[in-house]
Amino acid sequence: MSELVEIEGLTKAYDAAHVAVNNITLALPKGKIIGLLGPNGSGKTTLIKMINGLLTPTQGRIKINGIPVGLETKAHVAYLPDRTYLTGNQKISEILDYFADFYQDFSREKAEEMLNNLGIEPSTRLKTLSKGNKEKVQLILVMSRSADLYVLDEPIAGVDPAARDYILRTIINNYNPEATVIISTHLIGDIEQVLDEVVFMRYGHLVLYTSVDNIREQHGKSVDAYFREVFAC
Amino acid sequence: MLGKLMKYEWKNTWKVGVLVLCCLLLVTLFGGISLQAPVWRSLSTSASRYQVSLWDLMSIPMLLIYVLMLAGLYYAVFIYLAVHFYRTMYTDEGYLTHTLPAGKHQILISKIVNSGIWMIFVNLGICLSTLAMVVFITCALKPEDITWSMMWNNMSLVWDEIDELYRDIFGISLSGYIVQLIITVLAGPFYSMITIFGAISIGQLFAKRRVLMAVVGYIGIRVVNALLGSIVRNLIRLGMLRGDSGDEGIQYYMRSTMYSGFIVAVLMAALLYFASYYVTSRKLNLE
Repeated sequence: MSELVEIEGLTKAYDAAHVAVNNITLALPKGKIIGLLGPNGSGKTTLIKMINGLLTPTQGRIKINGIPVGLETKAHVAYLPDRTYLTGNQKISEILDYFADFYQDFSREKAEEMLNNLGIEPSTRLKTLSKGNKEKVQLILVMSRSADLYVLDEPIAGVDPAARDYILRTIINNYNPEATVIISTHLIGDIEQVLDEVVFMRYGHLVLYTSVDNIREQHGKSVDAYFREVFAC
Repeated sequence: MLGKLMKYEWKNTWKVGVLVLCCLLLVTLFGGISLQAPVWRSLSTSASRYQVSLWDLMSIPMLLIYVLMLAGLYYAVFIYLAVHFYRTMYTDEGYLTHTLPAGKHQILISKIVNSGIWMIFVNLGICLSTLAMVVFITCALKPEDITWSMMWNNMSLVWDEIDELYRDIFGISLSGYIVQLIITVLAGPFYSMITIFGAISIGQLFAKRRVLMAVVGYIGIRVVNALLGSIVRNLIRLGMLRGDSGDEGIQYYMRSTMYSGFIVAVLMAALLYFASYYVTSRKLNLE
């Protein structure tokens, strides 16, 4: 079985008028960097939350490594949400202790090395860091795990171009090569060069799932240009 | 995993807990100072005339403030622990909590045990504070010719008298009553925390205004609790009457209240725990 993530008939409806994810069926392989692309409100974050067990699907099911999302899958999924989930009062060293205690695949040495490269002292309290550095710390925590699946929700949104480069470099240099990385974003031009495959979503529907090479060969366009064409208003 | 969860629950709450216990100490000192007013000592003397001072006038309001502050500290901790639960389970911090490789039972139990322990500490602190006030007032009212050793020696006689009184009126010995009180002080906080956590979790079943619905849910739970208590109490009383247990008057009331309180608390705690479990495992919808 080469599929890491199997999604079948997945639907999330908040109410009758608001269906965030609509009957998606998808199988994502191992060892790929996959862009989850779509305009705001297309259902990317909702899909990601369901993969992480933070939202209960209205219908359908998700399996990771053949196991339904739950306690067992959480040990193998590294998740970077689109918000700060850490307590500001904590010192970074305390957060490292926390991750080391709960995640067997967490490498404290790797995290400390990345923090050192950024010039962030482990004794620093999270609340004293800038927004950009807080996001980098969260990314470092996630990428210091040797997970089977990395799910990164909008990792480069709201940061300056230099920080985007840093974030992308951190992802590429640190992920487990046998793992799959799902990166959700609408800033396609910035991440296109690192993607193997793309999933296009619109109004909760799956519009396209294909490889980046396929888009370039068949359409003669970059992913960014093709995305603009598909989602033209 | 449960041990790790409890460790971090403790780490995240101990500072506020210790702060409240320190405040409790200060409040007790404040209460003690209010009992140092000369008017209290005058009650045990035979002086026919006593000039009331401003200090004396302040004493009663200070005692009232002491009682209010005790209640305030209790509810402050209760609300803090409820907010901590809400924050770590159903807001941004919940993104971390619910992606940990830990079972929902483990997460819930760690929060209930930690919060329950803190409420026990606060309950014990309030009991000790009240005891300290009894000592303060005894110091103030004790006639000078009566020594502490004399009072201590008379304690056993007083104990026996109160014990007899309890047996006559309530049908329970004083030591039995104290054991019940200790059980209530120890088990009550866990029940209180399960109740508020259950209400917060029930609030999550609504699409909007989840905090408001949690408050409404809490009030609803208290109402159901009272109604169930009343029904069970009356059923027990009926059973007691039919069974001719030999209890009379207030004894019926005491026993039936005790049994019904216990039964309803166990039922409601089980129901609300599983409500929280159901919401976190089957109906989790973090926005």
